[in-house]
This record gives sequence, structure tokens and C-alpha cells, in this order.
Amino acid sequence: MTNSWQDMQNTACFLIAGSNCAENHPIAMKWINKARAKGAKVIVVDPRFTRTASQADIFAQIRPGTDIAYLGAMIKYIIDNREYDEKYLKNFTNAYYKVSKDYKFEDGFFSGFNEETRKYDTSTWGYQLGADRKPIIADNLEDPDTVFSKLKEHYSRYTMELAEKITGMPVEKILEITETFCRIRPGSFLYALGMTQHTTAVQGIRAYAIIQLLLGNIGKAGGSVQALRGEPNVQGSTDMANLISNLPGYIPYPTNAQNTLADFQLKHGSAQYKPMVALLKAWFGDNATAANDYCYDLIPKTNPANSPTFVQMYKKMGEQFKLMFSVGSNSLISIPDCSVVGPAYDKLEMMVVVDIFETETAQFWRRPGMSPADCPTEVIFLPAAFVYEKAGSMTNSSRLIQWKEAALEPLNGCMPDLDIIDEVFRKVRDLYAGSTDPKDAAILKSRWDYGHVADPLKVLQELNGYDETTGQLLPNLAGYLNGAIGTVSTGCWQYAGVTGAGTNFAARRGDADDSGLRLDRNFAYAWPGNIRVLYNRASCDENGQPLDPERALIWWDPVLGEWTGNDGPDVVDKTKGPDTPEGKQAFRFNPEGAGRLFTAAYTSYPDAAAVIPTRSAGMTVDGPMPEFFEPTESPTENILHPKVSKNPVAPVISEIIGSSEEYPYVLTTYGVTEHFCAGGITRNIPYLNEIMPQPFAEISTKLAYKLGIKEGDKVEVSSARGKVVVHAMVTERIQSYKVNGKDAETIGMPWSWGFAGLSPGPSTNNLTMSSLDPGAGTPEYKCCLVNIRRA
Amino acid sequence: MTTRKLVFTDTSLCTGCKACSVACKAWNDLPPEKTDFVTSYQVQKETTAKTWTYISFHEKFANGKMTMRMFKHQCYHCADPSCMKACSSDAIYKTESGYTLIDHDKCIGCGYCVSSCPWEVPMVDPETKKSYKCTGCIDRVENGMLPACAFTCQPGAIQFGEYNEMIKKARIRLAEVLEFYPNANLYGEKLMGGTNYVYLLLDKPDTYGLPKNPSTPWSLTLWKSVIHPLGGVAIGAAALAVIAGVASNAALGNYRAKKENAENSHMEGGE
Amino acid sequence: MEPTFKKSDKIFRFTVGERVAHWSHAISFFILLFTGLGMISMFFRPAVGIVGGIDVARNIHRVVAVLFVVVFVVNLFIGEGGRNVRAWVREILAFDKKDLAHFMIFPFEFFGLHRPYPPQGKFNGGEKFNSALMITGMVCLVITGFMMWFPTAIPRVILQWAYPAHAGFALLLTAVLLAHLYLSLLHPDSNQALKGMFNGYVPAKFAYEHYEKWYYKVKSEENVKEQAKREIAADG
Repeated sequence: MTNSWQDMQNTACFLIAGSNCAENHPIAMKWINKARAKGAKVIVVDPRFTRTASQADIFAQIRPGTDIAYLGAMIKYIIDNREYDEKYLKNFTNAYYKVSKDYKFEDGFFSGFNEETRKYDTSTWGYQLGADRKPIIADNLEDPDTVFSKLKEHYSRYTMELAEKITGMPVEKILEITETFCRIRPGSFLYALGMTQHTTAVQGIRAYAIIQLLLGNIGKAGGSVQALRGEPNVQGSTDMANLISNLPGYIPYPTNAQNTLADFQLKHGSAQYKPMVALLKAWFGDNATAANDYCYDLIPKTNPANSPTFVQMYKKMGEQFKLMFSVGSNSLISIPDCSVVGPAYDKLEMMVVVDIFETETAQFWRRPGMSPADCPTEVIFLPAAFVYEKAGSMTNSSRLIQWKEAALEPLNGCMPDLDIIDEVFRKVRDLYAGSTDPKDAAILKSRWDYGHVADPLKVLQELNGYDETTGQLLPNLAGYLNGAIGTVSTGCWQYAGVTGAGTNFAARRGDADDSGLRLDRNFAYAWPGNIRVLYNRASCDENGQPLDPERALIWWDPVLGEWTGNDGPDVVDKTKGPDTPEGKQAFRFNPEGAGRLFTAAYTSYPDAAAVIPTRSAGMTVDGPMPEFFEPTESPTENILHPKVSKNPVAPVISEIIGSSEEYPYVLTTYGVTEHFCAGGITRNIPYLNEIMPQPFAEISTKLAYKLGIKEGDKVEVSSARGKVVVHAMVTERIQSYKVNGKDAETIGMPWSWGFAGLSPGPSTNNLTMSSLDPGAGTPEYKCCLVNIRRA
Repeated sequence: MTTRKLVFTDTSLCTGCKACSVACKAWNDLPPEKTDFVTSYQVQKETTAKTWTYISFHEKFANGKMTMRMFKHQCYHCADPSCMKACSSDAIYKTESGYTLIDHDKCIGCGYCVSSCPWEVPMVDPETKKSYKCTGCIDRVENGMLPACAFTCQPGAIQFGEYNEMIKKARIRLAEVLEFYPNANLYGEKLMGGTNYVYLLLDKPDTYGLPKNPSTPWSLTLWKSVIHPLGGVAIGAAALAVIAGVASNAALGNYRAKKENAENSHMEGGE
Repeated sequence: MEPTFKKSDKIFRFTVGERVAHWSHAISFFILLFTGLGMISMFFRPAVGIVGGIDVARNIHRVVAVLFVVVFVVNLFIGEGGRNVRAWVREILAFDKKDLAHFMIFPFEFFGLHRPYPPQGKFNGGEKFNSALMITGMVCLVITGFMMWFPTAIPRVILQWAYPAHAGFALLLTAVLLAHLYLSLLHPDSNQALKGMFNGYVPAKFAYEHYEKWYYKVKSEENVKEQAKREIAADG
């Protein structure tokens, strides 16, 4: 989230697309309703009329996976009708920056596509640079080389009519949505997995970012792109590097091309070098010294040629992977095309499952069709404590780090995850004691000390960081930023300051807020630096004064000579005024300091002659601007460029792809409010099984009539990869629609069931498609082709 | 002195998440029941002795516009409850705060309340043979807490407060909503003597499967206001007639005559 | 010509079957009434304490209700020589002028004011009416009672009417019962009939005075029988 849950009350217009927040983030409705009470409009775009849609002023049904088509039409409308905020573009974005002459987009391909590797070389997506190695900025938007002109050209193809043909949403609807969202500001996008579980996931969110930058809806109270994250601590897990490409704090994961810290610095710049050293200091303590490259060599380096993400891992079980440690994950059900998971686990030497219930994953050897005697894998189950039985911090979608104490003692020998990990690690370390084998050094040199009984506060304090010269906790973010390299440690630099030097800010529950905006800065601690609205410099004009006095976040105080305000100023340096180059920047973590309408390949340097860069831009791997591609399994061809129908760089893992002749309908999968994810917990809670007793398939009344299916019938839904039999829910909440002039149907199914637990049921992921977003690696759960018949 | 309370359910804010029904069960220690889909996402079709509140779903597609309305069912806590009138055992009573409660020490599970409630709310548990329904969480409310359902409602659809304040709030909200929903109405305020659970509906009551004019059944009025008194009168009249008959026969000397006749061994001729 | 009677002159009125039917009905009616009043009225509620409380009373009410129906059905088929409940029902339903005439004098008789007694069949108009009420009432009570016992099987709208109907008929029959008790126990003339319900015979004089037509019918049947006996004896 750029903003916070509470900030939703400041929004005037919501475009909820890719999120069913009323069902899956009920708390969101509390804040959305506060905004509605002040007259805010709610627009919902979804493949189905959901419980969120029931709250909407405008609803449009979209074909799954086609968002970029209508978002492109919105961008075109905004440009054609000059709905963009020209000052905002000039002050805070790269709209005026000149794009490299080598950049091209032709027939569905951006420049730099390598047929062989099926990857892009992004070097042509850069800026025209001046002698100072800084981007050349044009005087006016209309300059043919500007990012803005590229944007205009790129989306000139995205007419409303085209969007209708692709998405199935009528032109009038798209127009109504666009006009409403342009007219009523500040506006917010709310999204979740509905946008991210596609082969065009990152680009869909990029489209949101572009629209919001055009409209000047970023960095402002009520103006945001809000990622509603899936569980209370999923933001925390991402911060702690649950993605393969990161180390904690979003430090790029070192590859085998960066075998020394110097290589790493050369590649990623000084901006990543400092947190990397601080992280190494946190992990290896006094063992990490300047002389030994801060133990950089103890971190395993990845081989980009063979670095499978979670879903790709299943093809390498038994070879590359021999032991699986599964903590709180019910992968047997949650992986797309999930029939591959069980056989993959059969090839492991050992599987350790840490969970509060014996999930399907914990008993993969007992799955239907499997004889336990035939499973050679040794399986160990470690009973974990439930959420209320363990203390620690959780970081929610608002980047809000909240501390909690244990409310109950764990029962029957169950243990908090930390205690389990701590005990395992210390036993392993004992076993390696005295080893001189270099590969064991990482274990032996690790500064792993969270107390005799692991204390979760010590973990958070490690994330907060220490002044390693004194052993004192860093008092705030500045303590880390100002500390000399090698003298400060932090386990995750964004968290620096969270525990302070004595007061655990995460445990604060102050509800005083006189801003009227519910910034709630005395409640817990939001990273970075307790800033509640990211990029809030963009809420001010050239003089550093709030553009909207009703929604004043920060301002430049010329008397004090510093940025101050209701929120923590998200500026490079608090003392650099609005007329300085630093004081102008609203997006300080981009190398150009500007909001990026075009994800240009760009690396900033401290000066024209410098060898070591300051910062490299985060890149989209499949294009500098979003382009519409059909899902991997699609009922139609891509009418923009039929020869490049699907995202050309998206990895396809599933071995069987269905055709629309055999599987004519689009399946979209989702969660329901009554169950959570793979149901490992919720399907073992009788009250929840009572209110959602079984899985189902939602189909339109027209399709039901055509196939002779009545509400309550059992239906068999099949894809090229599997089939399941479920309850038919015939509903008008899904309507038949047209795609490229042809009739089309969407079928909706929740996916939370599996063969075990108190409410067993068929797993929808037997049907889904394993193809990945090329940037994020997120599988395309949200659309695949299926057929359906009465069972 | 407790004052009258009101639970105002603004259905325009309800998202049908069913958390209220779970919170109700958790607080009141009610066991889960076996369910199946009724329609849409609805899984409970009526209140039961073990399910005191549930959400019904009402889908409609008309003129190209889809609506999905949700409604939270539970006891309305009427000011003039027909269940109380029907109760054979004086087990149902009203509190000053406006709640209609069942005293389970007195309840014999006759079920008269079940069939008399115009919303079919109370239900007799076949095992305990007692009638059960929403208590309004009076145990919480009397201790300064919100009812469990209102406490858990994240969208803020279920609101609790002093009657006068809340009804004012409800009317203001109705006025706001009427602008967009011409059929919107407050449901309950004027029904059954004024219910203590009042709803803002966005459409006519029948859209939600609700009776438009719920009232005490005629049969119940007839039973309790006519038949019982009349029956009493009839029995009283019969008893009086018997007494009068005995008195009259005695006065006429018929008992004596009979006795004499009986003593006379030669019964001849008529009387 | 009026016949003359000796005190010992008796006439056979009720078979064993009829008497069993009457008394089983009477006993179950009292039990149902007692337990029913306990259920419906908080005034009578304490009284059911003697059977062990309201829950026991409710069970008794149900058990006896079943027994009551069973006994009634059994009674339909037992009874000597065609003199069973079915015959009784047939007689009850045959309502004619003489019965109407009885209605006219009944109020006077009730209070002991004698009026010329219109000749009656085995059952007089008042008894027929009483019996008809009882039959109708009991059928309704059984049907509505069944509904109340199985409320979930019955449409609510119908069920709602079953309660007042059950109560209404019960109260009505209770009023009728009071009158019946008076006439059979306390009324100086008609209480003679009670004997018939114990040993089957009523005084011939009482029969003649109250059921003249029936009296002659029985007498003529007896004469026919006597005649036949004599003929058999003569032949022998």
C-alpha cells in the first residue's frame, strides 16, 4: 500500500479491481464506508458480481485477465482529454524525460527481445542522457521523445471499442468508469490477487501506477494504489525476503556474477551496498569485518540459469531439493495445477511440516490414490502454536509493524515458530561445532542469539539494528542512515527505528490524531520512518505547501528550515528545501527521483566520472509500459497482435495446455470470506464450515440453461489438467458476455478445499494453470480454460 | 433504571460476511449445525434453537443491473410481542431496555411462541425442550458491551445505542439513502408496537422475503382474547347453571319426592 | 295406557362394550382435561405438580391422547350383538322431530320444572346433541392435537389455527361436561341413567318416562323373543 487502511476514509473515488475486499478484507469496508459516508463513489470491476460489488455505485463485469485492455483505454482517455495533472507530471514524474531513440514497440514486442532466451534485454528502454549522465528533460510534453509522447503513442491503439471487444465490458461502462475516476479525486485503486495472479500481473499494477501518476493521485491523502495483502503478516514476510530475488529489506539477491561485495556494489550501487553491509553485520556480528568483506562470501549466490521459484521447484524435487521445511503453507492445495505436488513430495528424502493442524500437505502421503507404504519420504510434523499463543510483530498491508503479546500458553507441547526454528538452528549448530568445512562457516559464524528461550523482541531488535560500536539499539531510522558503513547493523533496514532505543514503537497504541486524516502516527510504527503516506512530498506544490489544505500531509516550514507536517515527510533530506534538487523529489527511491510512467533502464551516479553507481532502477522484465496479452489459456486470440497473443516472456510450467474448442469456458478462482486460503485453519473451525459448507462452481443462468444444470446439481468441471465435481451455484451475478463478438462464459470457483480436515472437498487447483508472471513469478490462478457438465 | 436500546442494521452497509452469526454463536456458546446452500451464499434458511441470527441473500438482475441484498435475521424484540402473548407459561417477558426474553426455567417448550411469531424466529430445541432465540446479548449490553454481532461487524452495518438517538440516526440515514433508492424504508420502527431491532432496507420488504405488515396472527388474538375468556365464561355459565339446577330442583322438592318414591316399594303411575 | 312398574323392574340399556367405551372415554377425557389445563393456564399449572410437574403432565397428555384414540378405534369394532359404538353413532346422527321436541322442554327439565315429556328413542334429543358435540369436538381435538404435537410437519398458517381450535373445543366440551355431570349425578330424575352405565340396566319406570319409544321397542322385542321361546318350548 502506498497509503494505509485508515487513509481509505480520505478517498473520494475507489476503483476496486482485482480485489474482493468486502469478502476477503472485511476491515477495508470499515474505512471505505467512512469515505462513502462523506460521499465517496465506489467502482468495482470484477469477473463476478461479488459481495464487494453489492456495495458499488458502478459495477462492470470483466473477462478474467484482460484488465490492461480497459486500463489502456483509460490512459488513452486521460491523455486525449487532457485529464492529466500537468503540474504533477512536470514536478514529480518522468513524463518530460526523453526516451532513448533505440526504444521501439512493434507487433507485440518491445525492443530488445531475445528469441532464444525468450527474455528482454532492457538496455534500449533507457533515457537520452546528458553529459552529466542524467536524463535529458524536454521543455514540453509534446516533444516526440518524451515519456509522455511514448505513452500517448503506445496507448493510441487502446480505443474504448477495442477494450470492449477484449474485456467484454461495454464501451459506455468503461467510459462511465473513466469519467468518474477522472472527475472525482483523490482516487484510489484497491487490488489484491485478482490483479496479481496473471502472466501480466506486474504490468497490470504498472497500469494503475501510470493512471494514478497521470491524475496526480499518488503521495496524497486519499490518493493511492492500495495492495490489500493476503494475511496479517504477508507484508512482513515480503519485507523479510520470502521472494527468491530479495534479501531482507528488498536488497537484490546476489548472483554468482557478484562474488565479492565490490561486484555487488558495482552492480546495485551504493544505495544497496550500505543495507547489505548492515544486514551482514546483523547476521554475522563481530565476525563480519571490512577485512573479510563482512562475510559476504558466506551468503550463497544464486545461479540465475537455475533458480526455480516456488512453483518451478516441484520439477526439481529429489534432484535439486531433498528436504522441504514447510511452515504454515498448504502447498498440496495452493499450488496451481496441484496434482504435480504430491508426486514431487514423494521424491523428497524428508519433509518437515510446521503447522497448527495436520494439513493436506502434512499428510500428502495419505492423499487419495496414494498408498502410504509407497511413499519413501520421511515426514515429520511439528505442532505449532496458534496466532494468539505467540508474541512478535506482524506487518500489515499499511507497512504497519504491530507488536503483540501472547494471550495464551500453547497447549499440548505446541511451540511458537520462533522457538521451533531457534531450537532446530541451535541443534544444527551444535552438530557442526568444530567443523572447518567452508560450507559450514555460515552456520558457525552466525550471530544467532535470541536468548536461552528465544525472545521475539530480540528478533525485532535485530531488525531495528544496533550501533555495533556500542552495542546500543539504533534510536531511529536516521541512526541507521547516518551511521558509517560497517558500524551499524540492521536485519531489515526499513525497520530501523521500530523498537527505538528502549521504547518498542510497534507496541504503541496511541489513538490521538489531530490531523483529521486518521494518520494515527502514534499507533504502532510504519516503515519507513513511520511515514503513513508514501511519496507525500507530491502532496505539496513547488513551494512545499499543501495542494489540498483539507488533506495537508506535510509542508516546508521556512522558519524552521525543514519539512514537517502531520505525516513523516517522505523526502531525501528534511532540511533540503523545495527549491533544492533533493527537495523536489517525491520518489526518492527511484534513481531519477521521479514517478515512473515508463520504467526506464537507468542508473544514477554521484557524478559524471564515478565508477560506482548510486542506485539502479527497479525494472519490469516484460516491457517499460504495460501491454495487453491474452492469458496463457484464452478463449480468443489477441486482436492487438495475433502473432504475439500471450506475454512472450511469461514462463509456462504446466505441461498440458487446453484449447478453447475442448474447454470453451473461462475459469476464475478466488477465496470466499468464510474460508482462508487453502483452508488449513478455517476448514478445521466448525463455525466456518457451518457458514460455508462446501466448494461450488458459480455459473450464469444462461449457461446453466444451455447445459441443463440446475442450482444444487453436482457438476463436473474439467480442464486439460484435471477435473473436480462440485455443487452448482446458478447465479445472475455472472452474466454471459461477448469477446471479439463471440459469446463467452466465465465460471467461478473458490479453491479452499482439500481431502483432509473437518470439511474435505475437491481442490480447484487441480484445474488451474501453472504459468507465471515473468517479473514476480506469480502463477496465473485467475484464468484458465475449462468445460463443465452435469455430474 | 435502564433505558430502551435499539440495534439499527443499515443493510446498505452489510456485505453478507456472516461474521455476526459466528460471533453470536461464539458468545452464546451455540454449537454449529450441519448446513447446505439455500440459495446464493446463503446456508441457513431460518433461525433455529442453535442459530439465533443468520444472513439471507437476495439476488436480482433487472434492467441490466445486478443487485445482491443481504439481510440479517434475528429476533426483532417487538414492543408488543406475539410470542409473549402466545406463551403458555408466562416465560416470555420484556425488559425495560426493550428486550424480549425467554425465562428457560419457566419455558416448557410448548412451541406456541414458535408459530405465533410473524417472523418465525423462536424455535424449540428438541433435546432441551425449551424455546430459544436471540437474547439481544443482554448479558453483554447490561455490562456496557456491544451485542456480539454489532461488536464484530466491520462494515459498521450493525449499530447499537440508546433508542432515541439511534432511531434519529436511522431516519437521517434513510433520508440520505432515499435519494438513490426510492423504495428505501425503515423496517420495524412501526411494526409490532415498534421493534427494538430496526432495519434500513434499500427496497421493499418483500425483496428480502420479509412480510410487509407483520402482525399478531388473527388466530392468536382469537385464541387469547376471545376463546380463552369465552371458554371461561362458558364454563362459568355451565357451572352456574348446574348450581341453579340443583337449587331449583331442591326448591321444587324434587329431591325429596324422589327419595319418597324410592322408599315407596309400590311404584305405580307416573309423577 | 300407562304400564305399571315394580321397583325391581329393570330394562337392559348398555352393553359391556358401550360401558367400556363410555368409561374409557370419560377417564381419558378427565386426564386430558386436567393435564391440558395445566399446560394452557398458569392458574392450573401448580395442580399438575401432583403428577410430577408440567413435563410429566405433557407426556401424560400425549400418551393418554394416543390411548384415547386407540380405545375409540377399538370400541368401534367390539360390542355385543351390533350394540357397539358404531351403532351408537348411527343412533346419535338420526335426529328428528321428537328430538327437537325434547329440546323445547329440556331447559325446564334441567331446573326440575316438569313439562309433558315427548316420547324419545334410546337417546333423547339433548343426549344426541351432547354426543354429537362430543364426537365433533373430539375429532377436532385429535386433529389439532396431532398438529400441535408435530408442529414442524404442519404449515404454519394452519398450525396457528390449531391452537385456538384445540383450546376452544376443549373449553366447550368442558362446559358440556359440567352439564353432563350435573344431569348424571345431581339431577333428581336423570341421574337414574347412571345406573345403566354401571351394570347396564336402568329402572323400567325411568326408561318408560324418559325414553318411551325405546321402552316400547325393547318391550316388543322382548315379547317377540318370549313368543319365540314359547313356540320353541311348545314345539319341544
